Amino acid sequence: MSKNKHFIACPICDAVNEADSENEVYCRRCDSKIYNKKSRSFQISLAFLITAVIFYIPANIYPILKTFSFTQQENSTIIGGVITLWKHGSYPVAVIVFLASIVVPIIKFCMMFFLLFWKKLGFKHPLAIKSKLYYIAEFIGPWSMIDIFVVGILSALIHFNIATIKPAIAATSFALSVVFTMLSALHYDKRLLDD
Amino acid sequence: MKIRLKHGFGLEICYNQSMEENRLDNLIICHKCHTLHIKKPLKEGEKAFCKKCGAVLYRSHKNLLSQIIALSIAAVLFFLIFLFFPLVTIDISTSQNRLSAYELVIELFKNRFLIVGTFVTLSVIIFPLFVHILYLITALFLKTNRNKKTSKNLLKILSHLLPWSMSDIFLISFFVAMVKLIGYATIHFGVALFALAAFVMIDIYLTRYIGIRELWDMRDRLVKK
Repeated sequence: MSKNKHFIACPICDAVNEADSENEVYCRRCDSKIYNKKSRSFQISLAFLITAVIFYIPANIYPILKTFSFTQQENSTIIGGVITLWKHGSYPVAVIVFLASIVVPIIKFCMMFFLLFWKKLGFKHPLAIKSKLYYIAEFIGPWSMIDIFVVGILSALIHFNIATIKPAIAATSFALSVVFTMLSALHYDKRLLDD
Repeated sequence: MKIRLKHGFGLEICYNQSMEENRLDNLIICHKCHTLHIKKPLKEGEKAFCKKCGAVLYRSHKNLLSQIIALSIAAVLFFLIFLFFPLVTIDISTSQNRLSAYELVIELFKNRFLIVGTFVTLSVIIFPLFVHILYLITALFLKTNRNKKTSKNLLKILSHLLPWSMSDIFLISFFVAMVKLIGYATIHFGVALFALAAFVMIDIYLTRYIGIRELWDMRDRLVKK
């Protein structure tokens, strides 16, 4: 029995499988492919992550909401929306939006970069900590969608004569950014955690 | 009652004893910290915890399948109410406007936000509904214990769908949107909001608390019989 063999949980059904670093493994319970070092999981995950970072830049520069009232037109960006909420005194909601649309994506980018490159950067953390990080990254990712849903709800609700709200360009790029970070985490090979 | 599982460091022993497939069925890897454990059978009402990080690894459930069938039927019914009844009605000066979930989607597509519209449709309406319909069908298949191949495929689809179902996040977003409107408009909540809240509670219970892992294990046990 070679020493390279180790146990790995199937990413789809969590069944424990035996795997080695060379051969391709298919889960014994659900037949889905478990990534191995030779498969391009690292590149795929990194590519999705870089795409997400690129989409995150216009998401913050351009307005996410356009408000038309009487003759005025007002554009608000993500951070602008947070500041308005704070000024109006709804502090808890301002904090939620700030966390969901600014802190969470940035933390997730950092976590994914760390999980992909920890070996090359020379960090030596125990496996348990890294897999906890991965678990957190996977868990908090979708919560950045809050801003997109809020924009959707507001634009569908507010179309009166005196005021209209419309989504703007940043909504699309922010949504894409979230989708790509989620894809990046889903394509991550958990065997990169352990080595 | 808490059961501490045997830690996985001494695994060489169990690993060498046999290479049989079902040996692996007795192992479980903690989904949080990736520590390997050897499974122990549980008595009713007991939970198994990870020795390293304390996460719940698996539970023993009474009437798991009947519970899932009942709850997922309830979830689908609540979801239909959420979909077609008004979520909220708002008044600004003299004009009034109401919104329900399907109108939200139509409105997004009307504004030509195709990507956002598609994503909202999938993650708020199609995936959550499908998840519960699939839960129902899978549990029925397992309950009647036939067609093992189909139940496996259904569980696979379900595992792929779960990360993309976001009804709980939508509920929070809804409240954030309402807070943004405070002061500008009078807000009356509709029936659909309560239906959504009920749906989210069932959703969290089925997909987070019980979890799909239990269904996979249940299927394993049934197949072996």
